[in-house]
Amino acid sequence: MSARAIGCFVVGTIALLGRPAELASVSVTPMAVYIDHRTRSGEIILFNPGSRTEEIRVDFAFGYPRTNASGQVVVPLSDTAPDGEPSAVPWLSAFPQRLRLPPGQRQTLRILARPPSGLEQGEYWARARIHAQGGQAPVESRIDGVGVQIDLNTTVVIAVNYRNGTMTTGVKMEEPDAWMRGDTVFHDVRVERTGNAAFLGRLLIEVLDEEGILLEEHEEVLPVYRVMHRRFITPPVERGVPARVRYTVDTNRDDLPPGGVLPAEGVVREIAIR
Amino acid sequence: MSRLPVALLLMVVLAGPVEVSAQETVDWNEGYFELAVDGIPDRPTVVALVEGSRVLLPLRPVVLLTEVPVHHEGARRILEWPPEVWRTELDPDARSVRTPDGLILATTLEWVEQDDDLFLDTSLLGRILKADVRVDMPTLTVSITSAHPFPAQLRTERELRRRVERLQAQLFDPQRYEGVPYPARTGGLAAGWSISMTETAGRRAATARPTVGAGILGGSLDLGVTGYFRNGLPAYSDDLLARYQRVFPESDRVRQVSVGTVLSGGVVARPIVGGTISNEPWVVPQYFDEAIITPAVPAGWEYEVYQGNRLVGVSSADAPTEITAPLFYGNTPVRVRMVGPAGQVRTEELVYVVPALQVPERRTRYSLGGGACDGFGCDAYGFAELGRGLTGTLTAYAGGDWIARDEGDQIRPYVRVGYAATPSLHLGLQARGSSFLRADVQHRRGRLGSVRASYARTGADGSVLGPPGWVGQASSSFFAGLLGGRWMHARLFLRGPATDRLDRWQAALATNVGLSSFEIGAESFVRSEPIFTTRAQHTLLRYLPDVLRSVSVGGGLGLGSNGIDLLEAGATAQTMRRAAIDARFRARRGLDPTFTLGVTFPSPFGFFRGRGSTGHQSSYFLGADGGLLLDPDAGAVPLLFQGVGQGGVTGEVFFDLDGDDVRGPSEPSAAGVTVSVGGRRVTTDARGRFVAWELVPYEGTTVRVEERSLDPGWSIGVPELLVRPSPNLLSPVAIPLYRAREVIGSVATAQVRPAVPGHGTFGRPLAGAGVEIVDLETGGVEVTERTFSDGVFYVAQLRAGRYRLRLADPTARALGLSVSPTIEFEVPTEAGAPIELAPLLVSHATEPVMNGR
Repeated sequence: MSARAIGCFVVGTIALLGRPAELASVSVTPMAVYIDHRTRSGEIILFNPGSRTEEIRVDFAFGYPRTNASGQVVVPLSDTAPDGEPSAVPWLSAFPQRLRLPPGQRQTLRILARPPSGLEQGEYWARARIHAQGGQAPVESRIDGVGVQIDLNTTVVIAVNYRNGTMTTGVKMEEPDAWMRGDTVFHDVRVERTGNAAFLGRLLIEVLDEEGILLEEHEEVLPVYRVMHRRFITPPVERGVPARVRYTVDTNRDDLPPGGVLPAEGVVREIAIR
Repeated sequence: MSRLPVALLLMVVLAGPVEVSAQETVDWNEGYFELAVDGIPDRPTVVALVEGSRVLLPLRPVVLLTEVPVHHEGARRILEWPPEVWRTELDPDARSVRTPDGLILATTLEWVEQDDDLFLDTSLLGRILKADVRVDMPTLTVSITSAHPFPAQLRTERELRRRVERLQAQLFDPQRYEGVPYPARTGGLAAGWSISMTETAGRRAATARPTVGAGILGGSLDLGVTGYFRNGLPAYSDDLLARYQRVFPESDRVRQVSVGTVLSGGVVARPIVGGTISNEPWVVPQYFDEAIITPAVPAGWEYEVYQGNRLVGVSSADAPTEITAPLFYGNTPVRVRMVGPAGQVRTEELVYVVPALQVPERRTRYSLGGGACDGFGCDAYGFAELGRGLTGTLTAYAGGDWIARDEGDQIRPYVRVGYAATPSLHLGLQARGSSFLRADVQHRRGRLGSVRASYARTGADGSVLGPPGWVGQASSSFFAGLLGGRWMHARLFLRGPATDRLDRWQAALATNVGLSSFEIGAESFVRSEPIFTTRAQHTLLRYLPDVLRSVSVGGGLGLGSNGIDLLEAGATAQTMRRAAIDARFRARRGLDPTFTLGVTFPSPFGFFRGRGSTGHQSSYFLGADGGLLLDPDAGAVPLLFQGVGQGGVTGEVFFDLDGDDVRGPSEPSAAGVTVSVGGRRVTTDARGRFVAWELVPYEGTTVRVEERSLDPGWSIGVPELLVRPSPNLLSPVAIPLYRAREVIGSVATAQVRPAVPGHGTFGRPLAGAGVEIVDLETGGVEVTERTFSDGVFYVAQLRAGRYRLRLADPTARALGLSVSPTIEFEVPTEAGAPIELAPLLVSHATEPVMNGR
């Protein structure tokens, strides 16, 4: 396609992984669904805040949050799960799986689980992909005098966890590391899940001075499906000299729907900054 | 359709030089351009002046397309949209443009007047419109994008929104239960019991009241008596109930007939042993009448009328229409949204007040009856009254009652009048000679609040209404913006034994902050000093043990001339299982403090209550009541409360495997299905049965299976059932569930004969194509769907059966097909994955023009 072909349509895809669903042309709530082996179904609500009808299509993929080599969180998705992974994708379905959502309208969408008989106890994972197309106003832009019109095909990805039997979870934290470069504190934290279900928690980082006085506090969500090896920096402190840092990993999450977070004992580590 | 074909089809004319008187140095050519504004479906072609890469656009078509209001002040043109947001003045004499951003002097290359129109440079036009104006020469398209929506964009959005809202409004039917039959059924028995025991100052008393009701010929035969016991021995019996009542919910002539121990109608209800007949509704209906909404709308504006979020009607500026809206008894909030020519929006909130007394226009109501007096110092009593809705806003009742006493008979005429002076202002008056006079006024103005005031005077011969004297009351709710934007509630109560005397008054002002309520007030009782009170209460819903639903704590303080006069405190806890514990402490100057503890809790056998208090007069009360329903369909059903005279619905939900709507011996029941009966949710038991009691008999109610409680592999044939329950028995319903599967298919062109040679494609999916699924057994169209943008259509639930898929007629016509291609398929009676059909191929069709993307 020629860049000079002004007026052509380019279809773009935005995958909103871990981003607020409201950014999309269809809002999705909640952002995670936890299905119990007794009810075998969950619900999400779709809302079209725009002025045009959206075409919605729902399918499933396998994936869960991991960390890449630089310590950043990524959620690689694949249609089929690698061997040995507890995938719920083959036996999850959405109802309805396609629909038109007029502007200003809501629709409840059910996620149904039909697991095979004799399924082993444990938690099974999938990601529901809600593809929306049609309603987003075309984005027009000009680059070097060339006009490009883009129709947005947005995809919202939400977590679907199926829980079969009794769930247990927890985390082990290896000895973390923290060091200063200039006025910035670098952190290296590795946690590994225990039990048979994902640890849906948060990481609280407290930067302390020599006297143990809190200088800076930073918090981020920390879902641990297998292992998370986070490397990150915290902003320079405004007052005091950072000397120590305390890491707390616990399940204090209020952003997930009720029943989503499995309670687990928190882990605290405090170390000196190198 | 994409812009590229449009551009290909656009005829480009670059004509020869045009005579331009003012700019002889520039040879302007004429060019035809498509004018595109995002959000406006129309894309007209306009003639622009072109010279090299410079394009001058005509102002008039742009203004017409965007609907930006223009008016002239002398030679100057004023563009303004929306008002107060953007205003531009074009002065042809000075060739200048004044915008809120400043003054612009145009050059002769940017400003050409020709053919009674003004041609402007794209950059200049952009500054005039505060928009981005761009010309794409390869496609000859002018695109205009603005951060502020143009009036035409607003209008397009408005029309789209109205279409959606009109569709929603069609679902709303205020008279949905009209025509629902009421069968005159016999059978069923409801029994109720109530016992209580009290002891005050060492005196113990007990009562027991059994009641029983039977459903006979569609009516209710109710029997009951109260027995009084003292010190464990029967003392006497009273409150005999022996009554047959029949209601005819669909009749205008006779709606209620009662014989036996009944309450009289008329202006004052008296217990009599006799009979009554009336065409008054059995309960105050929800729906009153239609009303014409006539807001004060500026000339040239259009308006929309909403009830809640439902669009009731639209009156446009060029086609004004009278909008009628359904009004309901009580308060009907109506919102009028006025839209100006430039897209300005003004909203007005109205509240229509319709008291229960009001009769719809040209309707007549009557009631009459009589019999022996059942107490209240008379021998016989009779009454008759006639009421009529004289207009939509004025209702008048006139009647009289006859009372026979030892001292002689007396006939007393009376009148009742209700008048809606304005939609939100209602006046009421009731008077019976010297017996009594009641007047009331209600006024509601949406967020501006409400005012209600009443005055009642009772004469010596009106003693059945209470002691002689007068009572004045006023209450108001208003939005206090100065106090942090809160609703305030004020009330005033005055009472006196004679017109010129006042023996009790009370005034209070209250508000809520979240789950807390606060009240300050002052009150004075007979021969007592006034005291000033403050009360506060807070309800806790969070941080409670799992067994508790809520806990309310509160207290009050009263100050008089001698210091603290009143001290009170209390707490109420409600459990998840509808039990409640209530503890109160109250101390008043001159009296012993009292402490009261009360408990209520439900059980499978009934509802239990207990209350004990200590203080200057210790006492306790113990009571319980419950009921039992014996129904031919449901058997014996224990009731939590006394249920005599009430109605209910019972039914079974089953899997209709053969689809004949009748439950066969091998068809299993559907357990765990949630059924909504009159808004109350019940769940089917292991036999697929459900029971819902405590419904108002004779009144229509809706029975609906909640689809979310069903496996999507099963569908409901009828979305909802409308029934009128009978008193003292259960109305039976049967709800079959049918096997259903999801169906996925697609429509594509097998071969396309293009409109432009060389531009055809093969196997192209058809977006927006209408398809129909025809039931081969009945020949009827079971489903109509439209394909998505990828040519795929989806049916969420299709009942088991044999079907034929075909194109809908409009689609077939648009494709130039006289005969639609078809696919026959079967939906099996077994559960399974979605049925995926082969593509419906459209052969030898002309390139379609569909409205899909």
